[in-house]
Amino acid sequence: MQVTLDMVRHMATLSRLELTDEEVARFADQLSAILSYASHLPVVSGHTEPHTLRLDEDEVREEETEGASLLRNALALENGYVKVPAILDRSES
Amino acid sequence: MTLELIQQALASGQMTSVQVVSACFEVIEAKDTDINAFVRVYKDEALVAAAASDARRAEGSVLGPLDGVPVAIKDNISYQDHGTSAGSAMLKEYVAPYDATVVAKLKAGGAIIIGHVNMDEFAMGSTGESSAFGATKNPHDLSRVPGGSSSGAAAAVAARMVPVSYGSDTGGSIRQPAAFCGVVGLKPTYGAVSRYGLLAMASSLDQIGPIGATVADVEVAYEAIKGFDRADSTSSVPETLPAKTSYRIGVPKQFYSDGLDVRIRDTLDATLSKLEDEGHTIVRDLDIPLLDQSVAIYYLIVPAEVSSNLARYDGIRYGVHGEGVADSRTQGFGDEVKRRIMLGTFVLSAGYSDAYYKRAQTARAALTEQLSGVFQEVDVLLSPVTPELPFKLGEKTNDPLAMYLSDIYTLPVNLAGLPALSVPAAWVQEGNALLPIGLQIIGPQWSEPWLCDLGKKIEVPHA
Repeated sequence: MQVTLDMVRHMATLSRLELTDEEVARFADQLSAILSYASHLPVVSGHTEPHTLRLDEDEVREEETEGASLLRNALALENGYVKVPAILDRSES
Repeated sequence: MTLELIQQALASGQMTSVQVVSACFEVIEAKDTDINAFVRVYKDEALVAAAASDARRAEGSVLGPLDGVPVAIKDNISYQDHGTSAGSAMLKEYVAPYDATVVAKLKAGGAIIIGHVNMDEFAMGSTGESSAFGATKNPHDLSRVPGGSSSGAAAAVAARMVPVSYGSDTGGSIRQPAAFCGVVGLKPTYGAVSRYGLLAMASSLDQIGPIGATVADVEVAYEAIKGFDRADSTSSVPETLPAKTSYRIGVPKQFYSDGLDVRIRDTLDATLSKLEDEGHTIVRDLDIPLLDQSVAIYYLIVPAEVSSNLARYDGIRYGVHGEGVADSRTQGFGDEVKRRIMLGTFVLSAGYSDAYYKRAQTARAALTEQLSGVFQEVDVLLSPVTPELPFKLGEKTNDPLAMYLSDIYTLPVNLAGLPALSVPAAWVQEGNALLPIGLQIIGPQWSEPWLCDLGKKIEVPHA
């Protein structure tokens, strides 16, 4: 499996990571080596189902941690909400 | 001092908890500038907690076997109102808003948490070198790695800074550093210990477990944290296997690979002969074909889970607050984390997920079936922990695949949800250093008592 520079750039975009050209080249080499190795994994024949995690039922549980404590690591708060930069431009609405 | 000796000293009144905890800090202050096992120490509050423990003991109201005993926890285990960083720049300023269930149990039992110990970033690595807090050194030879990802947890016990520490093991992260540092590490059955409050790496494989100087210490440390927890949806109700006096011990032929250091192979063979002489049955040349595929399976599944689990680090609610999501993540994550996130994104992406992720999950299920089949024939497996002795710092930093391949003996255990115990079984001279050789006992689910029983027969603690 040859991972190209463009594939690395696309994965970085999907992963919300910004890479320098040097990093793109290095990751392309390393990911190619890892995926080439993993490509030799044989397809398991027979009736084996893929491993999955099964939960019997949803369980609703009371959250015991205080709200204020959960918000203590946010950069900015307003009226008990996490304040984030605007992503929509008001002038367009 | 071992946990066992500390318990005796506390019970007999020969030492107070304040004295024991102070002694730990003396060792930390003397040695940790060189070793770098701790990322944060909690000296003042630990001494206050130790004094409270001494007062309880004087009144005859001891909370449990670990009351007054100092312990350390890996930096990915949440400790309320304390920094918890998972060895990452992303979480350098993060303060845990609640206690992990493991921490709550330790506190309720009177254990004294003396600090958070160093680790590879987000538990990704086998050397301790990917920590944003700097590499931890092997106490037996400061030019060598202590193993990882629970690098500080193993090094702190080996350097006698603390009798017991708690790490996490996703693909060998307790057992491999324990082997490299010459201490004992237990990776429990998946679901035996609550993961609530453990900063997730790969949720279907992560498990918290203890590291100690002896098997007996690890047994006590494990008792203190195990048990069903409804806050963890993958927690299990424990089962009890019948006790045994003699064991059928298997050795897979796949474990005698070319890359295995001859000194480790000789230690394995000598230990098998010793166990055979003591009346146990040895089954050699077991065939478990998919063991050879463990690295490929693991390094497809884990990055997939990593890319999902670490999507939460957006720089908004916690973590590095950069100029937007991508900038926060780029600043906060190190190379190995970025590599796994991108690999995971790739194997889950449209067009590739069937060829990689689904194929790996099917192979994982098949490997689990093969191992279950083997445990119909034998009680446990004995194996190396690593193919080589602790290597030099920097030796593998530029070749991730070489680092992944050295995990071959530990990965199958996590893929199949099994328990395994890593025990120092021999010591060899290498230059000026005396280096440990660890062996691993692997058993079926809930066989921890068997593993500890056998571990006591083969352990050779550091003199």
